[in-house]
Amino acid sequence: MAKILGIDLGTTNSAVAIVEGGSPRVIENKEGARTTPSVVAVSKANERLVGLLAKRQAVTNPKGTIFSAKRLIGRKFSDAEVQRDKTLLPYNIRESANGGVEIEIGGKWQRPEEISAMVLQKLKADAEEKLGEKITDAIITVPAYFDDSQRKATKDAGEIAGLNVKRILNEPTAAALAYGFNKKKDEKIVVYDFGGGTFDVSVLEIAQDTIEVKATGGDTHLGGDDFDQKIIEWIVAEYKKQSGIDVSKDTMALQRLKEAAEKAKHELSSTVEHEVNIPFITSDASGPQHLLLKLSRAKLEELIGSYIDKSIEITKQVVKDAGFQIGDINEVVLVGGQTRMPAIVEAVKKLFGKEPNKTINPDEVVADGAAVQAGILQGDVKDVLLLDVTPLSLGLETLGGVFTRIIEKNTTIPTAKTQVFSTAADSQPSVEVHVLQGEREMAQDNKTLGRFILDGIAPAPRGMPQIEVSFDIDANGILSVKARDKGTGKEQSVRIEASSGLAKDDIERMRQDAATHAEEDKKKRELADVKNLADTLIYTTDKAIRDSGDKIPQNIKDEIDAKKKDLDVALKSENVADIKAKSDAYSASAQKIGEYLYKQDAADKKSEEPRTVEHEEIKDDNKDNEAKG
Amino acid sequence: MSEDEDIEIIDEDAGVTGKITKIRKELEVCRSEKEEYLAGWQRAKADYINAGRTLGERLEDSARVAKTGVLHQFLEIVDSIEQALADPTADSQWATGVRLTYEKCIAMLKQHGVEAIELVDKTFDPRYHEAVDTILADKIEDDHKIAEEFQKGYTISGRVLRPTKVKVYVYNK
Repeated sequence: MAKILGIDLGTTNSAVAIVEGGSPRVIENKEGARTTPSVVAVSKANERLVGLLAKRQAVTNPKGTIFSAKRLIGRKFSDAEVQRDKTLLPYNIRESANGGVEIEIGGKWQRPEEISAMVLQKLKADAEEKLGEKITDAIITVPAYFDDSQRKATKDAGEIAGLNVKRILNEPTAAALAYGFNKKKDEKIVVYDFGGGTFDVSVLEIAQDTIEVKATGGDTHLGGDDFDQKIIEWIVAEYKKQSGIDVSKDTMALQRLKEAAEKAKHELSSTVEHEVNIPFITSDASGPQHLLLKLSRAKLEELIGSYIDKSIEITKQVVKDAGFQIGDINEVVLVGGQTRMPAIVEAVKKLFGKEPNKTINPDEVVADGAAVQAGILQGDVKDVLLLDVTPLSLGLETLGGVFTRIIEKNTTIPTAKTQVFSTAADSQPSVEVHVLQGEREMAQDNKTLGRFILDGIAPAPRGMPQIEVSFDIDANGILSVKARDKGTGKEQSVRIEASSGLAKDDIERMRQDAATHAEEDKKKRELADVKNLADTLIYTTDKAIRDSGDKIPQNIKDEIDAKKKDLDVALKSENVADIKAKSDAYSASAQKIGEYLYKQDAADKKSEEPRTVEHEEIKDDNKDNEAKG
Repeated sequence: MSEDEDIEIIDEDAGVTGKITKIRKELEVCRSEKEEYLAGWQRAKADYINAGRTLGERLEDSARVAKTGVLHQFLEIVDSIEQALADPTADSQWATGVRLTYEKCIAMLKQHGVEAIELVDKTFDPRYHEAVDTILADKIEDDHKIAEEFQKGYTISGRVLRPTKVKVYVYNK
């Protein structure tokens, strides 16, 4: 079956995703970008431009470049919104015969849905090129507040673009789908969507198999572009204060400033202070002038604080409109590029008292959700094929009480992993397989799922036997652990039903535990590792002395013995640095064995050298003989 | 036919008929479920194989995106050096050093397939240029010609890395 495209047809930018192997993936456009500006233009040469190219020529052709058609689609010309936008939009719009809106482009009057269709056509064509297959079906998202007429017009836009629109999906619903919240029962979700030009907030309620929009609100003229403008204004004012130069009229300087402002906004999402550094921004009689200002995150938040406050007030109102209390909300989802700002995340977190969902790229989450819906429709994501993950790592206890992971957390199941282990002592007759679950570094801190003993291992030096341990989790989360001695073929196994039977809280607690003890666990693990290393070192050295003791001079043996005593003392002290230092010293002495033996060997070889040469000569003669013969 | 015989016998006993009908129905459901699951399984396997095939492509893509990102940021430094060189007050010996540094930058960019976009016939082309300002033209033949270059544009292996930012003549009479 052909793929169904999930399309986020945005006011400023659009994105496209498909479901592959059960999970959504955004498809890049022809220009290699993951979003496409929702801009259409007809040039003077009557050439139609869509996306980035249309945007690049917008200032040369303000009347022929159509953006924000989404603000007009499916509306009556007499709508207050349209009347307001009419004064803001540089292109011409008029009332159509049926009371709708018409836009002038390239000397023709077209309906907003025809403009949107041009954007959709490009998205479709680029996706087809990228995927190498024809696309006929799509799901298009719209804001939750869109009325029937706006939805119908959006659907028409899809049809004009040659798409069979399988469904018109609410943007917040798509965001919730992208996070898989449709599988939850009776939850209330807030979707906080702060885009480039618009702010939307919606309250959703998930009931049996349906996601219902309970209330929506927002500001159609509030977005990240306002933030950028504030930053630019601040830089211009500060620079003027600092240098007396006004760069607001200098197009070239302003251009660099715009980029710098955008960069500052992005940087301040991860750092607390950013240096706005524009060398040679302009020049005057005194020579070249540079712009160097420090913008702190606190200052930025002060500049745009009122916008965030406004969005929070709207959010509160919408929750109230939905008939809920703030405390009733189970999940909060962040959508839109601006939600990357820590101040926004903090404000939302403060309001709801919980961490908002922001792991999916906020620019792509709506397109992803549309693709998830497409996947459900095309049957890609059948319930039987919804695969779970192991919430915690599974593994076993190894030498020194270390927890060795076999299956890492978040691995999709069913899955199987095999690893080969060995014995820790000479002639060890059996091994204990201690199966554990958790994220801590040491076995004792994790949860025991089961244990068994594999015996009958043939006597052998440590490290020689090969014990193959395999972990297999089926789709129901049932774990089977099997250990097999490759030498004797003997095997032993255990079946654990409850490997994923942990409650969500338990899993979360165990993860938290691992995070809080991370530092201390790391130290414990390090100690176990150096101890194991020292132990191996002692073992191999002892063995070397046993094997060729008579060849090794007594002084080397004595030195090793002394260093070994030091190391033994250090091992008891459990001091990592000390054990490491003593291990190194011991290792350096132990290496003298090899050094001595190889020197001896080389000396022996040296005395044999002339013979080797002779032998080669003889061999050469033979060769000649052979050739002759 | 044995099947017909079966049916005849069953006809005599309504209870058995009911049972068989029920079993037949169950079998039907099992069959369709089997087909559905098999199809899903095949699809998943095909998706996996296909994903593996496109993985190489995607890795190349992401390497390209990462490289493009770094080079794009690097252009900002090149811009500053260009601005420095454009300043006539710079001491000549010092300016020579800066020019040599600039040439090194350009050579490095070139090594990575980055080349400056040359304004050939000065006609505005949104594939390579981004208009940031306009100026009225006196003559119609100047319409959509580039009046001024604000920021140099670059391509990387033929794709636009950064468009040239320009001021464009617009004829409005």
